Amino acid sequence: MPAIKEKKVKRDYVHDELPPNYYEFFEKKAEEARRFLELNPVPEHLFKKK
Amino acid sequence: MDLERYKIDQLSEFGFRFYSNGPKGAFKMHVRFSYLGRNIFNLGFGVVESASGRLNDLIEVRNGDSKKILATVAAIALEFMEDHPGAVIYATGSTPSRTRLYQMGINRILPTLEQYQIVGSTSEDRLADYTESARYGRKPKWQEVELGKSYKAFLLFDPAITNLEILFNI
Repeated sequence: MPAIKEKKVKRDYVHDELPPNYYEFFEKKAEEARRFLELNPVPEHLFKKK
Repeated sequence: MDLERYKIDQLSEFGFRFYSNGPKGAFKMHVRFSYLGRNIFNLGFGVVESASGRLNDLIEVRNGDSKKILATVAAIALEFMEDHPGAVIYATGSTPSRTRLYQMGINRILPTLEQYQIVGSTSEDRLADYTESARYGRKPKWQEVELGKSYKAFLLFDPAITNLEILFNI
């Protein structure tokens, strides 16, 4: 068990007013990631359990 | 090992929030996982600008708590993976200095991630030179993360349950 992990406690969702650019901001990041992975595909062998 | 972290609030299935507290004040920070396809999720991170209320990923809060912030983001990533078995998390910094910060954080927690695997890309191919990259046919440079090496982007996953059929359409 990784030391960083805390004991799993299911949380209720907390309501918060989101920043006005919240979805646009994260979708832009996601699009950059998609393009990076498209041009830099990950070799399959790296996903296999050692 | 100091893995102190901030209290995490979950806003939705994919959204999380916490506050950085330090000498410069309190800064609200958001983490959101965006689906990229094939069970891969982008880990997005942004700081809310006090003046505008807008998310920004270029702010350097300099609150003296970067290790605590990284430990908090890592805890969020692991929790997300626990809730979404088989998910692969993609992460990169918004600037080279922030990516180096991520690298330092990963180096610190790497020995504790027994169940998970991290691979890193040494590729320089970012948005600015995608076209050039494709033209010259550069090779992908993903590899298992090793301490002391620098990477531009990271993937975190649990190799025991990662579904290769989804990832590679086998």
